[in-house]
Order: sequence, then C-alpha cells, then structure tokens
Amino acid sequence: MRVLVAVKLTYDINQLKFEKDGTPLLDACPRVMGEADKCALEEAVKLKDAGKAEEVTVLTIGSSKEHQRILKDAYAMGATKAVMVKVDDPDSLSALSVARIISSYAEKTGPYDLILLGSGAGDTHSSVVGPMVASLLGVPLLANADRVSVENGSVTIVSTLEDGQYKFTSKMPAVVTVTSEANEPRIPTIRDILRSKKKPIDETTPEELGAHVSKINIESIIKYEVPRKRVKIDATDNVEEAVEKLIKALEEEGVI
Amino acid sequence: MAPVIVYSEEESWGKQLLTAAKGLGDPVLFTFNRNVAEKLSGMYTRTYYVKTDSFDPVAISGALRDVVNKESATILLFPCTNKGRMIAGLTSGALGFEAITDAVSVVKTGEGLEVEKLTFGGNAMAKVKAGDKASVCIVSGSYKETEEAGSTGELVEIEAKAGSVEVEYSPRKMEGVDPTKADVVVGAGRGVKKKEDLEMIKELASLLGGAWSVTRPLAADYGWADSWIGISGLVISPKLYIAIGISGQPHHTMGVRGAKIIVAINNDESAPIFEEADYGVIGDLYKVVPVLIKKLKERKQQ
Amino acid sequence: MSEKFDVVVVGGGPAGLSTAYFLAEKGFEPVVIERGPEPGSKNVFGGRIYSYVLDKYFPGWRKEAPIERWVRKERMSITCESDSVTLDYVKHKPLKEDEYDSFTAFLSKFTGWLSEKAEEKGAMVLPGSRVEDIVLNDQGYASGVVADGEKIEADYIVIAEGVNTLLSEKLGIRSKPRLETTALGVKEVIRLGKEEINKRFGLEDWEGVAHFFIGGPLKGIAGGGFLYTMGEYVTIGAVVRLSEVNRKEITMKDIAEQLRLHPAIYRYVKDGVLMEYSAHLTREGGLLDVLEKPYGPGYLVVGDAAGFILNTGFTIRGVDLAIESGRLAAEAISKAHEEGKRDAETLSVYKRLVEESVIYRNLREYRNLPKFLENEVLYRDLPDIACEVLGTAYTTDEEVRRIYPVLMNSLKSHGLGWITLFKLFLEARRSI
Repeated sequence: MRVLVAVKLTYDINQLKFEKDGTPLLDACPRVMGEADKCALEEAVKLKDAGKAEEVTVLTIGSSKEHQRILKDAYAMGATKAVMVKVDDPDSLSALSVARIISSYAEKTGPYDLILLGSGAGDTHSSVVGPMVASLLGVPLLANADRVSVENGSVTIVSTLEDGQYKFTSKMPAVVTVTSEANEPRIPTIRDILRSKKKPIDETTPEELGAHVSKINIESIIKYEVPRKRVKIDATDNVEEAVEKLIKALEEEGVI
Repeated sequence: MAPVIVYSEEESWGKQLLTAAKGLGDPVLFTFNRNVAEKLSGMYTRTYYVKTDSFDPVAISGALRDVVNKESATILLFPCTNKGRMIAGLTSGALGFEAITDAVSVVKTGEGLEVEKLTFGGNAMAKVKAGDKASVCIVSGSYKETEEAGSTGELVEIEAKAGSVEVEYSPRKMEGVDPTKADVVVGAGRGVKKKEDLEMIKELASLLGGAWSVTRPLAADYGWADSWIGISGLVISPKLYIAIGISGQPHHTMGVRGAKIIVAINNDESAPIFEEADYGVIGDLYKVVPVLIKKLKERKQQ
Repeated sequence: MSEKFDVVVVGGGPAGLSTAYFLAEKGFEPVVIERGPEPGSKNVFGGRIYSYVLDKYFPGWRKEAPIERWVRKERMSITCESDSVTLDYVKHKPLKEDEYDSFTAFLSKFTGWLSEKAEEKGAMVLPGSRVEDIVLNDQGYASGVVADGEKIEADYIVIAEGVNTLLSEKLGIRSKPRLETTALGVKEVIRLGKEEINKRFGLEDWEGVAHFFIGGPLKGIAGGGFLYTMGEYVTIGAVVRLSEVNRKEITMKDIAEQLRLHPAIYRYVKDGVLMEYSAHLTREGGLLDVLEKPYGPGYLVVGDAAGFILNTGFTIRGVDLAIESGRLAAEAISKAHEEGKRDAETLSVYKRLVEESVIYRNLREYRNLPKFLENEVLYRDLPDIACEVLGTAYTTDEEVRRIYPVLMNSLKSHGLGWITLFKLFLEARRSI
C-alpha cells in the first residue's frame, strides 16, 4: 500500500505579534509543521509500522530551509520519501492551487491507496484543501478523522461534526483528513533524527507537475479584535464582593 | 440577477446566508433537510431539496454541483462549519472555483467578489479579492437572519446519486441544552481538575437557564464530554458566555467570538482569555464558582 | 550508519558548534546535541559579537553571517533617577564593511548560521534533545552520553553546555555555581523598525549602537544594563548578580520593567512592540570560574562551560572566546586521535593551548575585575555623585555654584571619605 501525506509549514499563531498599526509580524513568528498534518503523518507511519503500508511519501509546498526542516522531521518520524514542490511564496497560493499541486503530484507518481492531510492548517484553517484534492482525483473523501483504521482495502474513520458522531467507511483509494485529536505524534529517536539528516529530498515544481496555480489576491491583513470591555474584577481576596460586582454588571448588561 | 446558491441544512443558517445572498444576486437554496426546505422555500427564489438518507459529503456535493451547473451559478455560500467546509471544498474542487473560508462579509464589485475574512486563528482580518467564481464559507453571526418571507419560490426535489461511502451516524448526546442554541453558555477548561467538578459547571449553567460545554482537551483528551467549543468543534454565539478555567487558546476563542458578553474566571492574570473578555474575574474558580452559584440562587429566591 | 560516533558535542551554542565545525574540517563526523528546538535558541544573548575571531576562521563571513548591525557608536551611561551622564565614543571616519570590529546579532540566528557552516563541513546538529548524563566506562573514560533516554557512544565527548553545568558537576570538575559570581541576565526585544531606529539613535543604514548603563534603572543593584540596536529591533537588558536579586527580593520581570521605563532608555524604545522577554543565568567570575582542568579521560570542556567568559566593565566577551576554545578543542582531539589515545594526559594539551591563547591572556589580565565589580559603591553611590556634580556644573542662575563644595557634600552625604575612594582607586588600577 502506498500512502501520500501532504504537510504544511504553518505559523505558530500563539506566538504571532502585531505592529502597532495592526500589521502581523510574520517574519518574527516561528513556523512549525501543522499540528493536524503531523497527526496525518503519524497515521501514515503507524500503517507502515503495522506492515500495511510500504511507502509513505511526504509532500510539502515551499522552498525555504524551514520547509526542508519539516521534511527532515517527517523522515525522522518514519516517512520513506520526501518531496518539496518548489514555490517561492507558498502562503500566497490559493486553496485550489494547493489542491491542484497535491492532486497533480498524486496522479503523476501514483496510484496511491491513501492520501492523508491534516483537517486544517494551524494558521489559516480553511479545511478545504483535502476535500478539493478528493474532488480533483475523483476519489471518496473521509474528512475530520478523530480515528482512522485501515482493513482489507477499506478505510474507516470516526468524525465528530456539529450534529454528532459519524463513522465513514470507503474502499481505497481515498482522501482522509485527520484532526489533531487522532493521535499523539511520535517523538523521533535521536538515531532516527540523525539518519534523517542524510536522506534526500526530491524536488519538483508546479510547472513540472502540470498544475495550474494562481495567487490569492490579499489586499490587506491586519490585527482583528472583537471590541471587549476588558473590565477586571479581582477575586483573589474578597470573593463575595467580586461575585456581587459581576452579577450586578451582568444584570446591567441584561444578559441574566 | 444571477443566482447565488446557498447550502444549508439548518434553518438559522439558511436565514443568515439568505441575508448575505440577497446582496449578491438571486438567492437559491440547496438543502438535504426537508424541514428546512419547506420552511425556507417561501423566502428563496428557488429551493432544491436533495433526498438522501445519509450525510455522504461526496454524494451531496455531487448533487450540489449538478444544481450549480443547471443554474449556471458562480457564487456559492456555505456555513463555516465542519460540514460546510467539506461540501464547499468538494464542490469547489470539482467546479474549479476558489474557496474562501471564515468570511464575515462578502461584497460584489465590478472585479468580482470582495471578501473580508478572519485568519490566523481569528486574530487577523484579511481583505481578499476572490474573483468571480467562488465558494464562500461565512462565519456564524456575520449576517442577521432574514425573517420575512420575500418570494414564493418553487421547491424542486432532486435525488442524490448513491455515493461510495458508508455512513453511520449517532446524534450528539445532549445533556441539557444545546450550546449552539442557548442564550447562556458556561464553558469549562483545564482549570477544572476533575470530571466530578463539572457538576458545579452544570449547576451554574442550569441556574442561568443555559448550556454547558468544555474546551477541546477536556472532550478529546479526557473524554469528559462529547463535543467542545472551538474552531474544530461547536461555534457558539450566545448572549452570555462564561469561560471557567479556560486559558484562551485561539482554537477556543475563535468558537466564542460571536458571544455578546464574555466573562472569564481564571486565576492566571496573564491568561489570554482576559483579552477576549468583557468581565475578567481574577481568582480561583473553586472559590469563585461556588459563591457565584450561591448568590445566583439567592437572587432567584428573591 | 555506525552505532558509535567520533565525537559527541553536548550543547549547540557558539562553543559547541565551532568545535564541531573545526572537527568536521579535520575530517571527523561530530554530532552536536542541543536541547533547544534550534541551535542556540536557549541562548539569550545580549547581542554583540567581535569580528576578529570570525575574520580569522570564517573567510567571507561578513557577507553571509546574520549580522543585524555593525557597531559604530559605543556609549556608556551613568544614570540617576532623572538625569544621566553619558560617554559617547564614535569613529568618525567612514568605515568599509571589513573595518567594523564588532556587530550585533541575535545569537539564535548566529548559531543557526554556525550550525549550517558546521553541517556543510560534515557535522550533524541535533536540536530538541536533552543530554541527561555522561557515561563513563570501567576505566573511568567518558564513552558516551544519555540523551532523551538513549545512549549515544562516542570516542570523545566535548562538553559545551554553557552555564548549565550539569555534566561538569556530574564529573565532579565543577562545584555548584557560587552565588556571588552567578548573574541573572534579563532581556527584552522591542520592535521599532529600521527607519525609526536610525532616527532615534542618529544612525545611518545598518550601523548600530552598543550602550551600557550603570546606576539609575538598577539603582543600588550590582549589575549593569545594556542596549543594542538590531536591524529592526532594539534589545535591552540587564545582568544582575544573583545574590543581589535574592537580597533585594525583586523579580527579573521587575528589573526588565524598571530598565525599560527609565527615562534614559524609555525615550529610545517607547511605542515599540515588545516581542520577547527572557531571563537566563550566567557566570561572571572571570578567572575564578575557569575550570582548573577543562579536560579528562575522553572529554573536554569548552566555552562558557569552561568559564571562558569575560566582563571587562566596558565589554562582555563570550562568543569570540567560545569560538577560539572550540578551535583549540578540535586541535587537541585531532592530535589525540592521531595517537589513538583518549587519556587525560594526552588531552591535557588542550589546556596548554588555551593558556597560550587569547582566552587566557585576557582572563589573566582581568583576573581582579570581578572582585572589583562587587563594590556596591559603584552602583549605589557613584552614579548619584556624578549626576549631582555635573547637574551643578551645568546649572547657571543667580546662585554661585562651585563644583568642588558640591562634590565634597555629595561624597559626605554618601558616607564616602578619601580613604574609601583611594582604596577604590587602587583596586580599579589593579582591575581595569
């Protein structure tokens, strides 16, 4: 069985700071492999460990050293092949372009039995790339997997959606998107990390793959805050008084 | 006017998205919920009801794609929910449309759609030009619900082609009130140490006539609840949200942005939740919540 | 891949990485184990590095290293409550790029660059792993380390663990840090943007300032403050004796805050965005903290871990000494390896090399300084006296103000007699 995992280098938005005028300071924001993407990779490596998958190819789009780094991390976790689709400014690609790149790669180097992605990137969290890839490849989509199991050519996932829990089962090939609840990604051993250092990274480009890409037209991007009153009520000493203050405020707001 | 297709499986969403659609063209509803179809068909120019016995995203998206082709529509609106995103992605991929999510406003201009959308965990707002063929997922509460019946639209019934995915569904077990529909929601985070302590959260919720829920770790990691509030879970917009022992990760706060008033109770003064709160109570939740319950009970008796 | 490595270097700071670089240059395959997620990321460094050592060993570094700004202006301020006295040293002639003798840099970026250089030569750098123990074989030779529970064997171990002297303590070559010579460093990184920095500091292009403070914001606390201009940022910080922090019962956050809000500094950084706050431990004992034996069977100690750090009162040097010690360690290991030996006697050549090098020459000359810098008078009294006297000298109105009586009064009110001052002067003469 052959598995393709697509991972994104995402901004760690918990550490994102803004300029006084609201411009996000992206250059100063650390970037990491998407949390859910890492879980998708972990699922793939688990299949390899279980002897169900022979090949785990990891793909990312970008050209920076950090992109190289997450591919090396993927090797250390157990990927068998790493591919970098070289694009200078991958964050400016539209979701459809990203999906086209992934599906073109899958078509060109496939067939893959399973294509795994994170259910959403840590920074933009659009959650549409996986579904798009499924459409473009014409294979079933099993999205938002909190659990994944593969048995006899079929894949089953459990997914928590707004109105309850769903269990989706389909024959492979299929596209599965994995949430960050699905597993606890492994921490590679030092030996695995050292081995990953010497592994090669394949390179290709959207043109080589024949993927038509376009940039998303972002006019502006600035800090956003819901206007909040931010009244502080100190309840460290006098709890009774603080609670009375709170109840009074909520009554005045007309919400209780 | 060119048709704008709204995908919805819920009445409230159908009404919110109708408001958004009206500014963009001729609203056409697509739903697989018969109830919603019947209730809202009087508001939309046309309503397509897809008969299906399960939520198979691929099958539903296939039917939607047929409707888009039939209507020659170029603008699709979806709720920004997990299901909405799935259908939006599938349909856009098949049609070659761009998909923009987390939108709070959509305007049609000479050069196509202009969308304002949240990004970076709701910490930033981006203005994006989306071109003229696009699916847009809209964040709950961005548009008010349309109330009046505007047109006497026809109701078209269509069949979804059978999909290849087997679906088993078990509805969300709801203890008490549904947080997505409640006026008051009490949320518990990691500051709540034991599962038994959730009783006090539930008691507070029921005193306020509202619902309770938890953050993702409490549900997903500890299994204390079936669902959670956050971008990957429930997105709520109550009148009052009380965040108890919640630090305020973007994942969670994204899900409560629509609340009118937010109260945070936390002993860590530097917790990011206080930035998102109207009233921030700094103190030990194990001391504050019991007093709050006691006082609310007294208030009720008066 | 063989299960045993040539050399394991513990710590991916400048010392560890340069050891690996020079070893790899000689054909070894060293592995550097660093606990931070990226090399140097645990290293909260004030920001200035001296050029000479890089000129010597890294040709072309001026074009490729992550230099924030070339230091053009050197300032030293004595600050009081509401005024300050500043010494400003500027080289006025236009400088070519290869003429600046120091630059500012973020150490995490700088070690990132060093790490690339080392990897280019064939070293392996392994971030995100914590070394917990050093393994000794039956003969008492260091033969490996335990990192994240895994045993990694090597012929030679190089300890470059910085100020966190876990392994040195385990080996019994270093006692727990002495309170008096351990300092706490606190740093804030504030973003202002390049143009704004140039405007506020009167700088052009990518030239920068290194500014030291004594007194004022850290009133009465033995320690100093610093400010460096980075490309788009200003970093400010203070290094304070740990004993002082304990005695005065203040938190490092308070110190950072006091420093930032002091008028002498605030005017430079106001309206900036606070990007980062961090605190770390450092040693300031000069020669007193230098290891008697920075070597042993199967191992060597380099950089800060060996005590190669120098505070001259005007400059703080660590990175240049670290790089030099890395080079000497590589030299020593290479010699020992040629002879096929790993015993302490053979490796002691490292100590001899260090003693002949720039490292010892400096540490020896400045050996009395740390003791001198413990003088409270320097922090508590002298800043006030300087401000009072100069404040008088520059005040003109109908009153007659002669400086001398003001000086005398000032000294008296601070309880400083001639004898104390003379003793201080004598100490200073032996120290600076």
